[in-house]
Amino acid sequence: MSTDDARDQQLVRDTLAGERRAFGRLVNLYQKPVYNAALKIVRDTELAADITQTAFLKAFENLNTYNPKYRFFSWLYRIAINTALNEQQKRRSHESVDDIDIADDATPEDFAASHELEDRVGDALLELNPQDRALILLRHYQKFSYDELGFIFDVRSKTIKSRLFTARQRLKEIFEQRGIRIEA
Amino acid sequence: MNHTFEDLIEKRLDGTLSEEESVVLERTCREDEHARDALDAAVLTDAMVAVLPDEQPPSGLAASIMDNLPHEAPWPVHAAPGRERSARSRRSARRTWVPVLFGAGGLSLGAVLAVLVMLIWTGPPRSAVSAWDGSQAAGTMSAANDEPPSWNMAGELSAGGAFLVQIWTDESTVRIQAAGESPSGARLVLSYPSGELNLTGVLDGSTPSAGSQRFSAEPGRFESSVRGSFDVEITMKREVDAGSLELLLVDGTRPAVNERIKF
Repeated sequence: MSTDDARDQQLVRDTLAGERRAFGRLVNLYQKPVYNAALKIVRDTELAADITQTAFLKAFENLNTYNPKYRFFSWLYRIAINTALNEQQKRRSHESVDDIDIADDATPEDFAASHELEDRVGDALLELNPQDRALILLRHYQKFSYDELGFIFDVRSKTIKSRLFTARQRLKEIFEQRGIRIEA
Repeated sequence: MNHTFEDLIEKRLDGTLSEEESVVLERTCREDEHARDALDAAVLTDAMVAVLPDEQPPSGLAASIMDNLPHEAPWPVHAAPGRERSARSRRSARRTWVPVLFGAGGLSLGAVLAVLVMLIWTGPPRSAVSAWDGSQAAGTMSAANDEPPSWNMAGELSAGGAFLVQIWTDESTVRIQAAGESPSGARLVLSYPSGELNLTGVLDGSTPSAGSQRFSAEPGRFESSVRGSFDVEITMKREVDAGSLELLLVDGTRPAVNERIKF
């Protein structure tokens, strides 16, 4: 167990013992990565803040069910990702796909002029389904292991490997279609 | 596609591929077009995702999260000895917060206790977002009055990192906790006109604990550098009937917030 994990476990124990400020410390430590994960899934700052708040509230309310066998932040991410995916699903049910995907009748040159690479990559990620988008972000941005991803998505790590393979291939196609490449 | 090969791809992304594994990976990619596609897609995805920016959460998000938590723990609380007040004592403290806050009961204007806590952050000032004494302040800051007895404030550091300050008070003590991350280093300065103070916690991320340091009742000043993760608790015994607590948070050379709580 790393020192960070040991610290988190102690903060959880302190919170369970009634020390509210210990949970404040966990909020302080993880609000930013949770917010960033949510933001990259929903691409909406207000909604990402709501998701972050809801995730911490759920974590607090269910802290006595937390299993210390897993890292605290994996458990927190599991809650946050489920919350984000549920919110995304709710939003999708109220919007057409065209409302979410960017209108793309511009040429690659127009795009190059009007979009920074990070925006274009973010837009390309939106073409993936929310589950695959979350998976890609947690693996490549947050650097979770297969086992941790298996815990977060509640599937076997073998399934994670297979889904990652498919999602990356799909994303590569999207990058190619949109003419997105990283300059050497 | 066998899973051994996928494991090699993941190791390649993590930078943990051994020389021998690297040879196997290269050979497989030469011989198998699908394997090469899989590696290309993984490397491309990794590089593309790496350009995504790390956004700062909205200022005040941590305080808002803490404000919206239920006031009573939804599980049976068994406080660890000597670590935390029970729910009962917290309720007791809550009852005393209002008179504490507004200075009712035994308020003596002559007996003013001021505690000045200054967290002076190093690094260049960022965009000015709040004002103090008519001057612009650097950094981002929000403060929210929690339900009694706690008071939360969260913010970001101009040089990167974040902090959370919480204050509790009851009949006999005022307790302040300042916690956060300061990757580039900061200075913690505590000035106190009077009162018995006790400081515990981690001042430097590389030090398990700075230990406990007691302050005398005489006016004084404590200063320490903080780096990495820090978590400091200051407990002040209330030895007078009324007073005020002043919290001054300074980002760079400019104050980001100035809060005064009378009790």
